[in-house]
Amino acid sequence: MAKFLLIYRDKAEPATMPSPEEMQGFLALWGEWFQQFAGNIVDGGDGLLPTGRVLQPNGEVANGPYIEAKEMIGGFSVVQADHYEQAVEIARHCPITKVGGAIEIREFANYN
Amino acid sequence: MVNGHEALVEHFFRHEYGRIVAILTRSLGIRSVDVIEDAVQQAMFRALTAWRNQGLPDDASAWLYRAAKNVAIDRLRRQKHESSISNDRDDANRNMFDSLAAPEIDAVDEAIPDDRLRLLFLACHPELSLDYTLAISLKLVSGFGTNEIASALLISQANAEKRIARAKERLRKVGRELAEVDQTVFEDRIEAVQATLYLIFSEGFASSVGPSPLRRDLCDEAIRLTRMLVEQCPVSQTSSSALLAVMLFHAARLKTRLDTQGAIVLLEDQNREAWDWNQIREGMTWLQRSATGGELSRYHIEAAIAWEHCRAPQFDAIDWQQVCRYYEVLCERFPGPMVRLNHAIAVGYHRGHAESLKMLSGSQSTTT
Repeated sequence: MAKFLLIYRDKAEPATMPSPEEMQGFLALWGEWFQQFAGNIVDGGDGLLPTGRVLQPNGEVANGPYIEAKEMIGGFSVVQADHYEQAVEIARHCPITKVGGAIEIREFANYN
Repeated sequence: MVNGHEALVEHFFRHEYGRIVAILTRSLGIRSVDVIEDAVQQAMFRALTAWRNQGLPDDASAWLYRAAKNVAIDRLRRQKHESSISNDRDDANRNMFDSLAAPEIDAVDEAIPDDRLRLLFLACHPELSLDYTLAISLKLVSGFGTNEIASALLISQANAEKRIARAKERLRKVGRELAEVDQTVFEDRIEAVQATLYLIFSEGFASSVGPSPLRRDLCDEAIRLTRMLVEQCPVSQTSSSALLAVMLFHAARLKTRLDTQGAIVLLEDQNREAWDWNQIREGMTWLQRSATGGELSRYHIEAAIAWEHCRAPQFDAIDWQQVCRYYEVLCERFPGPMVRLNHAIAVGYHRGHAESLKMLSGSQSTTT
């Protein structure tokens, strides 16, 4: 089995906030996702705050992630799967997609 | 791993929303209600990420409250800073933030439902029409989203937004602060609060457009708030107990009102064994309790009528004579077109349809 990094690209704050009931629904979906793919999810990962620093090769430090807000990296998880198709299938069920987030799926090189 | 997820009780976020909005409105003032609502939404949105791996932490309520409070104070500080460096409101603002730092707000569970009740009385302002108190109560006290209010009330999203915005504007201008909701306010507004709660229930009950879980939610929410009113309102009125009984008797029969296609099932065809007898029993308890004062509200009579329907073993066994007597009292003391119509229907079952038609056409009738 190979390991894959799921990179969640979503908005830090949606244009219209979901209602409390809808948010509860999303949280319940996460619970289902973890249960459904318990054998595949190696690390639930974490969310990332919208703040950040960027260090340039010349030593300059700038505030904030550069990338446009619409594709900000909001969090990540690590899953294991036999191949990309399976990893994509796991990602497809991930609740991030329900709140308008995209998921980038990258296989670990296993160099180390 | 999923333990915390399993701990997620039904409507937890919605109920927390009303609770936290109420506490923060007490400390930050009704004028900051928009900031407060945004802050609670923010806090919940963050919780989605914070809790997604493990589900709810043990201190989920306190976590949400702290997060919302911090966002709200942060926003208000920034607003204050932006608007003016020094004005005569500074002292008031400083006091406001000082009081927030007090640790007692973080705890004391008993104090919390109290604030929600006060918020409900605050929202039921006499200058607001029933439509508006309905919308603003659902938004602030019940934690419904604007989209949910719109679809539950069968109005457009824009209309729901308008009602909420206008209601807030009025409350900011003429409303009191939460701490000022005192005995006088409880006494003056209890009827308006009852009317609002009954309307929430009726809106949910009158579901002629097919089974929607949201409308069932309205009934449940109305019962929840009325129970809070009965248990916590310092102005104890037996009419509140009677109102709770009415709701429970009707709600117990809610599931059998619609068939699998979503069409209304007539009372005579409903499956009485499928009624929720726990709710009926609870309703009976409240009806008995409501009979302990000298007060006779429309809710008392409506509860008595609903009880007559519930207690009959089958449709043929309904004591229509008794039902007609109750309707006569209702017509006499609380007249209205719907009351008159329902009275006529009951008379029809009791003495035949000719008699009820005679009543509706306005002719004199004897129905004792």
